[in-house]
Parts: sequence; C-alpha cells; structure tokens
Amino acid sequence: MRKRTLGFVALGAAASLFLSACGGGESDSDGGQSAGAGFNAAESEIVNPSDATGGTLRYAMSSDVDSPDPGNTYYGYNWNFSRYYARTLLAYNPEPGENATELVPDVAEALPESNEDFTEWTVKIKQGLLFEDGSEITAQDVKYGIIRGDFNGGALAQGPSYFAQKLDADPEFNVYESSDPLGEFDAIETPDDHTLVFHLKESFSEFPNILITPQTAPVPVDADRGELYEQHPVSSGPYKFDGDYEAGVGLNLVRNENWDAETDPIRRALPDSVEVELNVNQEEIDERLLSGELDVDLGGTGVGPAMHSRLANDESARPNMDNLFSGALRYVNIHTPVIEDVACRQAIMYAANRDSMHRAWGGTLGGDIATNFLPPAIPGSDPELDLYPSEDNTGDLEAAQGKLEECGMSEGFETTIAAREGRDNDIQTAEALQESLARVGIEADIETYPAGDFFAQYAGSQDFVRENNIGMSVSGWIPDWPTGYGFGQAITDGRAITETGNYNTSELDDPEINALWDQALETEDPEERAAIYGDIERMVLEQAAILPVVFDRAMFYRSAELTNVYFQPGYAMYNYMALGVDRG
Amino acid sequence: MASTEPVVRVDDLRVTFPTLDGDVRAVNGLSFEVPAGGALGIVGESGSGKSVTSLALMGLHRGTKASITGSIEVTGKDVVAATDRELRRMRGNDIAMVFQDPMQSLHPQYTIGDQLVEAYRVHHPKASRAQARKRAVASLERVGIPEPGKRINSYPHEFSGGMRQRVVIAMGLMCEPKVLLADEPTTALDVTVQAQVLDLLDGLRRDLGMGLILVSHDLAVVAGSVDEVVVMRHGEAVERGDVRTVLSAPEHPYTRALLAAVPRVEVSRAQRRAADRAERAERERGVQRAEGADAAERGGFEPFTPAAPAAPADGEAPLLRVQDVAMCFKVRGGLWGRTMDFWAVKGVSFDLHRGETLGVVGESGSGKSTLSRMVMRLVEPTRGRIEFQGRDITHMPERRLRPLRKDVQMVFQSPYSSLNPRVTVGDAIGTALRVQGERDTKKVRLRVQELLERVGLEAAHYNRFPHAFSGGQRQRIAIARALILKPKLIVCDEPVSALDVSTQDQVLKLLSELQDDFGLTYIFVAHDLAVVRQISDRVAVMKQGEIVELGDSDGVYENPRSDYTRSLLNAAPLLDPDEARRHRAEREVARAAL
Amino acid sequence: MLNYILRRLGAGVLLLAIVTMVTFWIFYVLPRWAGVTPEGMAAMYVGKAPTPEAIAATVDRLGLDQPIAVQFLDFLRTLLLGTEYTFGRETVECAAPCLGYSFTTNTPVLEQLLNRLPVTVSLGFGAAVIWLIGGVAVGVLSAVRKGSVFDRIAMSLALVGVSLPIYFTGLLSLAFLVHTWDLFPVPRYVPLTEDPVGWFQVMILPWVTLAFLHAAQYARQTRAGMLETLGEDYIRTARAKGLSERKVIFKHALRPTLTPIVTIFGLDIGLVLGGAILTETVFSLNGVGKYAIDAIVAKDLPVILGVTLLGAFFIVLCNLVVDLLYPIVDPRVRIAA
Repeated sequence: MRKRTLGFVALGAAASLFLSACGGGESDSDGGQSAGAGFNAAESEIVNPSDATGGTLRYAMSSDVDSPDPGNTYYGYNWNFSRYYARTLLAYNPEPGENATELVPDVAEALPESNEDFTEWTVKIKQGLLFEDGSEITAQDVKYGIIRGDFNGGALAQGPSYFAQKLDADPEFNVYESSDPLGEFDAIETPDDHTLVFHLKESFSEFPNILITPQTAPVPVDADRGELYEQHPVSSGPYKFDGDYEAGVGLNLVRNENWDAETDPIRRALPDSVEVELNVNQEEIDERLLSGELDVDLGGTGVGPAMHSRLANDESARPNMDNLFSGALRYVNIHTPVIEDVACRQAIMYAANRDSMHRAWGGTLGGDIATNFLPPAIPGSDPELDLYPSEDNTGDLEAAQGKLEECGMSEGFETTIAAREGRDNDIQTAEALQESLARVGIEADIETYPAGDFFAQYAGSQDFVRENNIGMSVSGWIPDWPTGYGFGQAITDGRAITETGNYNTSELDDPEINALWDQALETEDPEERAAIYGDIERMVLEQAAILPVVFDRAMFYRSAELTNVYFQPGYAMYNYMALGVDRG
Repeated sequence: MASTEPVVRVDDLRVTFPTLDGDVRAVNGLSFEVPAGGALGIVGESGSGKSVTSLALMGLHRGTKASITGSIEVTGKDVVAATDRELRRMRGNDIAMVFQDPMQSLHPQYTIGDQLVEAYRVHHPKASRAQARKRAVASLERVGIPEPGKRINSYPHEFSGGMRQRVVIAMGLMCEPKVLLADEPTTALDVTVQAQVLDLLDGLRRDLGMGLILVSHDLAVVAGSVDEVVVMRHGEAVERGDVRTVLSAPEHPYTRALLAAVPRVEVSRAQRRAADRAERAERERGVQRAEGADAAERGGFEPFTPAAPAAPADGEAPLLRVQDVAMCFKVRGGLWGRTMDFWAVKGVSFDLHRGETLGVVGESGSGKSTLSRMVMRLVEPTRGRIEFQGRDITHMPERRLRPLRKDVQMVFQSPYSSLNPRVTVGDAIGTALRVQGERDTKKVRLRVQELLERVGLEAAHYNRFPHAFSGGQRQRIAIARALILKPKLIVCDEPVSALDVSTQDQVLKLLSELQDDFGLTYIFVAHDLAVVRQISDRVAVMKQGEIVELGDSDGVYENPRSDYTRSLLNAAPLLDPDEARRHRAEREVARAAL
Repeated sequence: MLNYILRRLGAGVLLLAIVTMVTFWIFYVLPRWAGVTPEGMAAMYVGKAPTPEAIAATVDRLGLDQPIAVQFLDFLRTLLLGTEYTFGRETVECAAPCLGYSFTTNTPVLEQLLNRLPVTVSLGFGAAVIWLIGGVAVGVLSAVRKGSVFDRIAMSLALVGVSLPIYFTGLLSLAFLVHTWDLFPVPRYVPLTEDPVGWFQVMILPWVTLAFLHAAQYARQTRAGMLETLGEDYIRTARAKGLSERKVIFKHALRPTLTPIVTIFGLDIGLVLGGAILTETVFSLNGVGKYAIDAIVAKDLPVILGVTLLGAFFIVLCNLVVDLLYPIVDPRVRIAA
C-alpha cells in the first residue's frame, strides 16, 4: 500500500503543476464564428481536417521535459508526445467527442483478455512491427520496457509505478542487477514472441487502462543504458530521434522509415519532422504562438497568465481559442475528523457560495461550476447532480442554518481553511468560502502553507490538521486515467489514508464506499463500473467530505496553421498524434 | 633685440565671468607690452586676475563662459579675433606656457618623450618621429635634465618636482616660441629648486632671445628675473614700471603694503616683534580712544600661561625635551616588493622652553613634518626620547596620552582640507571642549565666540560653514580651534605657506600676539626661510632627517655655519633686483665649480 | 614583473580554493547543520518526485551518509582526479576536472557548461563591447557638451537605464521588435562558426538588452570622470600645446578617464553571468545563465555548484587580468606595484 500512495504522490506533484490563469475572463460571449474555426471548436470536433503531409511541426515548452525516456515520465503531455517514437500496448481512441477516452489497441492486436477474477491478463501483439533499426518488435521487448520502468532500483524514478503495485512480483527486483532480467522476472510471461501474460496480486478490472502508459512501449534489452537511455530512445513509432536529446535544450524527430502506417490506427504522422525547444519563456512561447513562429505549446496547460488576460479581452482572437478542461476538479476537503458531524459538514455545503468561488477561478473562461465529484469526461460522472442546490449557486442559507441546528451548532462554529501559498486561485477560493460561511456564523480563518510541503507536512498531516483545528483545505486532483477509479479512489478510499502526505485529506473512511471501490475492480463491464462510480460520487457528496468548486479550464491558442486539431480529454490537451501543419 | 615691435601687446583687456550673482570682472582694463627678448613680471595676490590674464594670452578662455574684450596681440596676431585654428597654431608655437604645478601639468600616463614629441609634431606635422625625438632630447638637455636620451622614456612620476618643472619648460621650448609665459612656475617647489628654475628661465631668455612673462604672487620671485613689472589688484594694474623703480620706490599704497608684507629674510625676529608690538599698542590705543573702554575688559579671555621671559631662566626644566629621536618607515620598493627601511628622521635632539618659538626649516623630504608629528605623538618614534613637562611620552599608550593632548595642539598647512566643510565653524572649534567634558552648550558657545573675536573674526561667524571664509580666515579658525583648550604648545606645520603674502603677514602677526598674550610656546615648521626667521627665537635647519644647524635665529641667518644653510639662504628670493642678480651669479659660479 | 604576475596568479588560485571550500560548505555542510538528513540531501540531488529507492541509490552514489571530511575529500578527488558514474549496466567516466553529474538532466555538469559556454561568451562579449563603446562614447559626448540637450537626454536615459530591469527591456523588445514588427528573427542561437550573419542577427537584441543597463552606468561614470579629467592641469597643458580639441579629448582626457573604468569593466565582465541569467531566460538562449536558473528551479544541486565554481573562476580570472593590465594602462602603478 505504501508504494501505491507514493505513486499518487507523484501524481499530486503533477497536478500541482497546473497553473491556472488568474484574472480576466469575465466576458461571456461565445465569440464570433466568422474567422478561425470558432471558439472552443476543437473541444468536440476536428478543426482544420487535412491529409496534407510535410513540414516541420514546432513544439516548445517553458520547462524541460521530465524525460524523453518512455519508462521515466509521468506527465500527460509527455505521454501524449512520446507516442511519436514509442508505441504503447493500448491507446486512447483517436477521435474527438464522447468516445475519446475509449481504449483501442496500438502495439496490441486486440484489447487484453482477463481470467475470471481479473488477476491474469493476456495481450497479443501485432506481428511484423519494427524498431527503427529494422529489427522486429517482440513481446519480450514490451515486457522489458515495462519491467525496466518499474523495477530499476530507483534509477528511473520519475514514472508511475502501477505495474510494481499490481504485478505479483518481488518489489525489490532490479533489472540492472539481474544477469537475465527477462528470464528471472516471471510476473509477466511471454509464452511466444507475440503474447504477454500478466499475473496480478489482486483483482484489477481496470488493468487495460494502465496499458496506455509509455512504459508499455517496447525497449530492446541491449539498447537500455539506464538513465542515459533518454538521450536517444529507440523508436517504434513513425518518428525517430535526429541526434540526441539535449537536456534543457530540445530534441528533434525525423521520419522512421521502418514504421508501417498500415499497422497504426493511432498516428497520422503528417509532418516530416518534429522539433521541440525546451526552457523557453512562457511569455515568449505565447508570443510565438500568436505570431505563427510556433505551432504548439508542448506543456498542454494553455497560455500563461499574461497572454490569458490579453486573449480574454480580445474578442477577435476568440475563433482561434479553445477553452479546454484541464481534467482537474478543484475542490475543498472538509476534514471529517475535525468537523465530525456530517450535518455540520452539510451546512458548509449549503452555505458555500459556488458562484463567488467560481469567480475566484476566473468565471466562465476559468472553468465550469462543479456540483458533482467526477470530472465530466469520466464515465459515470453526472454534472447535473446537485445535492445542495441554491438559487444562482449562491448558497442556501436557510438549509445551512437548519443543518447547523441539526448538529447542535446553531450559533455556528470556528474553524480554519488551509490553502497553498502563492496559489492565488486557491487562496481566493478560500476567501470566497470564508465570506459565504460567515453568513451562517461559521467563522473560518485562512492559513496558507508552503505549496511544496502542503500535503507532506500541513494539510496532509493528520497530527497537524488536528492540532491546528484545520476543518477545510483547498485542493485539486486530476485522474491518472479517465475512469472513476483512476480519479477518485486515492482521495476517497479510507484505506488510502496515510499519516502524512495524505491525499485523502478529508480522511473519508466510509465502509460502503470502500467496498464499492473493491467491487469496481472486480466488475468487467465498463458501463457497470461507471454506474458504481456514479454511486460513489453521490455518497461522497452525501458525506459532505468534498466540496466541489470548479472543473477548471485552460486557455489554448490554436494556431491557424495546425491541421486536425482536437481535444483529447485523456491528456486534457490536443491529441498530438493527429496534428499536421499547413503553412499555405 | 632685432625688432622693436613688441612680441606681446595687451591693450585694455577685460575679462568678465558671468555668475549667479552677476558679472565678475576678473580683469578690468589691463594694458602692457613685452618687447622681443624682454621680460615682464605680473604680480598680484589671489583674485587679482593675473592667472586669468595669462590664460587669456593663450586664448584658453575659449569654450568657457568668459567674455573677453580689448586686444591681445602675440607676435602681431590678434588672439581675441583669431579663429580656433589660427589660435591653435599659435599655441606652443609662438607663445608657450609653463604652468604652476609641475606635478599636475604633465599627463601622468604618457612618457615625457611622447608629450614633448607631440608638442613638436602638432606644429610640424611633416617632421618625423625621429626628428622630433632628437629635438626633444636636445630640449631636455637644454633645461638640464641629466641623461636626456635615457630619461625621455620615463613617465612624469619618475621625476622630482623640480625636474618635472624643467620638463614642462622643455616642452614649452620645443617649437622655440617667441614668448614663454610662466604662471607661478616655482610655487610648489623648494627654495633651492625654485632658484634653479628661475635661473634656468633667465638663462633661456638670454640664450634664445625669448620674451618672458613671469606671473607670480611673490614679488621676490620676479624681482631678479624681469625688467618690468605690473602689480595687479582686483583685475587692475595698480602700478607698472621698471622693476627697480617699482620695488625701490613704489608709488601705489597697495604696492607699498605688499612690499611691506613680504617677509624678509634680512629682518630679524627682534625687529619684527618690536614693530608688531608697537603697531598693536598703537591700534589698541586707537580702539580705546574710540570706545572709551578699558582694554582689560575687552574680551574675557585671560592669559592661561603667565607671560614668560623669552629667554629661559637657567635651571628651569624645558617644556619639551627631544633626545635623539628617529623615525623609520618600512617602504615597499621596486617591482620585487622588497621592503626597505627609510629613516625619515635620524637622531634629532633639542630642548624647547616655555614661551619660546623654535623654527624648523627645511626642504621637502627633510623630515620636518615627521618630526612635528612625533612631537605630537601622532606617530611613535622608532628610537629616542620625548619628554613633555618632564614626563616621558615617547611610548606612552594612547589612553594615558589623552589628558596631555589638550596641552599640545596643531595647526596645519591647508586651511581648506583641515576643516570639515559640513560642520559649522562654531562646532569645529567647540568640539574639542565637548570632547574634554564640557556639557554646558551656552558656555561652549560663549568661549568659542570670545575666541573668534580674539583671532580677528566675529562672534556672529559662529554658525557659518567653512566655505564662507577666505584662506586666511580659515587659518584663523584653525588657530582658534587649537587655542580653545588653552594648550601650552602649538605645533604649526607650514601654517602660512598656502596664503597670500598680505594674509600671511596678518596670520604671523596674530600668532605673535597670541604668544604675547597667552605665553604660548611654538614649534614653527616651514620651508620659507624668511617666515621662519621672523617668528622664531631659535632655528633648526633640517636636511635629510638631520638637524644640520641649530641656534639662535639671528646667528643662523647672519653667520650660517653649515654649507647647506648658506645655500638655502643664497637661494632665497630677494626683493632687491640687483642683490638677486648678484646671488644668481654666485649660484652660477657655485654650479660651475661642481 | 614576473614575480608580480606569479604572486597575482598564486593569489588567484588561493582565492579559487577558498571559494571552492566555501561552496562545498554551503552545499554540503550548511544543510546538514540545518538538520537536513542525508536522504533529504539526496532528494535535492535527484529532483522531481523521487522514490525511496532512488533516494537510497543517490545517498549511496554520492556518499552523503559519510562524514563531512570524507565527503570533502571525495569532492576534491572528484574535482581534481575525476570519477566514474554507473547507469544501468553502463559506466560513464567523468574526467577531471569533474564538476559532478546532474541526475536531473543525466549529463556531466562540466560537459554541459562547456557546451553552453559559447552562448554565454557570445552574449557577454558582444554586450560588453556594446556597453563599453556605447557607454563611453555617450559619456564622452555628454561631458564634452555638458549641459546641452544631448547631455540632458543622454543622462536622463542613463538614469532610466540604470533602473530598468533586464526583464522589462528584454520582454518589451521581444514583444515589439521581434513579434509585432518582425525587425529581428526569433532568437534561436546559431554558433558564430556556422552562420556569422545569423549569429549576429540573433544576438543583437540580447546584447543591447544586457548592455543597456551597463552602458547607462558607464555613460554616467565616463561623463563624471571626463569632466573631472577635463579640469586637470595637464589638459590645459595639452591645449596650450596647440593640440586640436579632438586630440585633447581622445588622447589626453579619455585615457585617464578610462583607467578606473578598466577596473569596473573587469569586474563587470566577471559578473556578466549574473546578467546573463536574466538575459538568457528572457531570450530563451541556452547558455550558462539559463542552465543555472533552470538548475535552481529544478533544485539541481550539482549544477548549481558547478555554475558557482565556474562563476567564481571567471571573476577571479577577470580580476587577475585587470590586475595584470592595470600597470599597462596606468604607468604610475608599475612602481607602486
């Protein structure tokens, strides 16, 4: 269990990188549809569809990539991007709209099949796939890619560790200390060159979801140079490295002649080459996007704050803008051990002025008001669900007063809201909440704590929360994979609670909810699972452990020269594999 | 003297500077002529307009706000009307200038060779470097620089002051100008060097038939070197004529006063003191008569040492006894950074009695300043012994020295840098009192104001800042500051050397009066023989850290025992032109004998 | 003279040794005193979100659990003799002088520094030329035409220039000169050796931006120095020789004015890395400054340490050059030295 939590710690770090734009965004018009493809056009349709090939697709990012090594990365943009040269077992459905997060085979021949209790999964891979050097991709290569990513003695620390958590293997196994890693590691079997059999510790019906991670890309044993593999990963996709990756500087991709388009439904491979410039100023990136000197901001978190406020006030730019879900839920934890009575927590749910908290996130352009728990792209999510309704979302003070009386605190009570230092949106959310709670006599102080240690030492520390009467904390969460489990288990399963670094910060520990999570992992049908997640959603809200604030949106500037642009909610950004350029 | 045409003719020259307080007429209707090969002296105190005149002759006011009217002709060309180009062609070619401070007037970052060559080639662009260099060597040789071929590659800082002035003169001679204009060419130099430079100028004039204009504040400097003299005051020529006539029978009262103020080496301490006392008595009678008040009631400042006889009674312990003191400095020399011992003072002894004035005279580097600093215990002697009032203070720690500090005060040379410009005069003087523990601000103020009046200033000056005062007044302030603690001994280090002659005279008078009133004891350190003679009971002549002669001042001056004293006296500028020329001849003989 | 040079060199080496020790102390000893455990230190070296395995591996690899003295010797040995690092099944040699290895970017620090040095040297050198020539020229003109319209405008600009941050001028020039008016290409560094014209075009804006700040300071300094020098007696002497005003100013007045500027220039060149950090960030140039700031953001300690040492090395070097140059510029120093 310890390991599993750590995996999510990394995720938390990733989530914390979502910089949301502040200010601006008050204008509510949908913008003119005359020029450009239209405001938010790429959210649900393909903008600028084209089969034209050629040209160089130019990416840039304001930081370095965590690593181009597919086995050592945990950022959505990189999972999206690395597919240029690293084919994974499964992939998201390459089409816009509702079915975008469905899983489809990539290296795999078909979707995996499991045994009765979902503890053993079998995947067949396509025949005749080639590495960039012309050698054939085998099941052993895929197996090696997976195990080097999770069993490496800490050498490749940045990737997720789903396989280490789920596979029935010795967690201390280290590929670099084994003379025959493929032979010694038996939790994945390769009965022949095109079959993989995974043995899990426990039932895991959502196992296919983790087969989209770049770790499932094939890596030849002989090519593995540990941490140095990132300098020149061996390509299985349509592009290969031209020269080495230069840390902090950039990388260049050119066509891989040994890739066969026929085998690949995922990648359009339209440009002739792809280049990435790293560590470019965010302001500079945004300027270049607008002036056409750059095609895509690789980070996929939208434009920076300066450009955001500029675009928000520029109606003429609307047709080239997309206002896309970041995939995250912004919410307030209501700490169950501190505010023990569920009625008191419900009073908070009623009293909260969602409208003013929405404004803290920049209003319409900043995101959608959240009344439910699961982000809209997740099956089972019910955006219409609103257990604590009020007129204009400004709060139902009467109902709140009633709940306070019910929990014996009719005069209100005193508590503290924790927020991360320097996160303006979080702090403004706390302030809006403070104001709305004061209307029913709940006096809340706001305390800010260092963002880097927020969960390790402050809001995520059980002792700290109790000692300082911290009744609420402002937080945010994005899914590892777009299912209810991938999103909500870590923050609502009672068994995920830890003493420090606790992401189930409300410390919700409801036996019924816990049981539902287990049940979901033993349910095969995705639709049935979605129904279970819907139940969990309702129960979490009934328990008033999480006060949803917004499903926030980021502002993307869509270059007019880009073709086949559409939103992939699985990565919460454009689907990079479809993009082409048309400089005409 | 082939031509009768004058090489310089100045007619009704007026130079006006606009200032915030209105126009200042620095030169107001000056006229003079210098015949070819002739020599003219322009004499005046600071602010008389003499330097402005010399700059005007070079056309160096161009580009400033000065407005010039009248006419200046140099070798027949009109300087005022000339174009910049024509003017540049004249500068250095027709008329060359030697400036006051040889330390400052050469560029520190070019070799003297470069600077000399440049002076030549700017007017002879066709001349090759080698030619110009040859000329430069010749020119340096002419002004008496030893080994000119070698020294031409040296930088100015590698020369002594006198040698540097020779270099400046050599530079002036590069193009063989018809007129050499020397503006205070010897002010910063020691007497012997001064004499050499003046002799050199005189010789060059004779040898090259150059016109010479010698500008100086010191009548004695020009006396032996020029034919004609112009005495200037407030921008006007008060007197002009043959140098002999002007000096022996001055017509204008200002000239007379100026002449009277010039300290004369031939006037003894007794004569001077007698004259001063008589004048003072006269003045006080006048004041008494005018005010009808009793002199004793004027100023409550009582003598703090009973007026002692100038000659000490036998057996009385001296106030200060200096025995064989020496001072050694570590000097980092050469490129190799070896430290060497430099003995600034090597074994000096003397006694100083209450009420006495000891003059210490010597040229720069003689160790006289180091000696005075040792007496003040600003530095600790390397060896020897200093007793003050019978107590050995040679190695006394600073803490125990402090109570004695008030008994010994110092007056420095520069009245400009020794006063903090941001502190009012009253505070500057009163600080010492407060340091000694006086708390009562009113009392301090009263004492300071009394003292200000006593040194010839006004009580109302208390709140003014130093910049509001002239040099002489500042030196009075410095003296008041020294007096405030009623010291027994005052060490004056070149107290008047930065002042004009008339101011100098007044300050000397003041010092003498104060000695009478308060029974002060002085050590008077100076390079000017005449000044020292007039204030000192005894004189010590120093050379290279040693006293070469020590004795009764009249004795030293009239019957010098050491050769060095004699040569110093010989070099001293004299007011009598004929006497000055006789001395010059003697010097030439002496040099030739070497 | 040789002795002097040797002594200066010795002092420089000694200073570097001291800087090295202080740097070590700051990065290795100080955190320990502040209560950071070896694991905590290791976490700073691996960066991002390390697993316990990764931390343990790093503690082991860097010997962070060793006594300080052992660590210092290791540090010195690495610096002077080089060391080896193991990756997966591979061993990589870090030859002396090994400034360490960045586990965030998986590259030897020295190699990265050397790769990026040309950018920073291009930037610093070009900017220095501009600010020196520009600043001095404006200062001289201002001094010569003291009180003129030019002087007033130049000095007001200089005052503004001294107080304008690089960030501001840089972003402004990018937004307008590059993106709005297309007067300059988008800054992407090209080596001088590959494309001199492109190099120049790309570097000109960063140069001017970095130089602006310094040029303003130099203009003011030059003006003040020039005015002082113009009042010197030897300038009057020069004029009295009949020299043209141009010669007076450029031959006689400029040289003494430049003398103190040489000292400042030496120091500024040494410190140019500081300005380069901002300039390279604004213009997205991958030089040493950018490397440093990225490392600071990523808490990549080996890189921070390496850049610190490199920076110190340059400052010491520049001071050495100034010390050696000074006697040539000002002959008076030769004797005193």
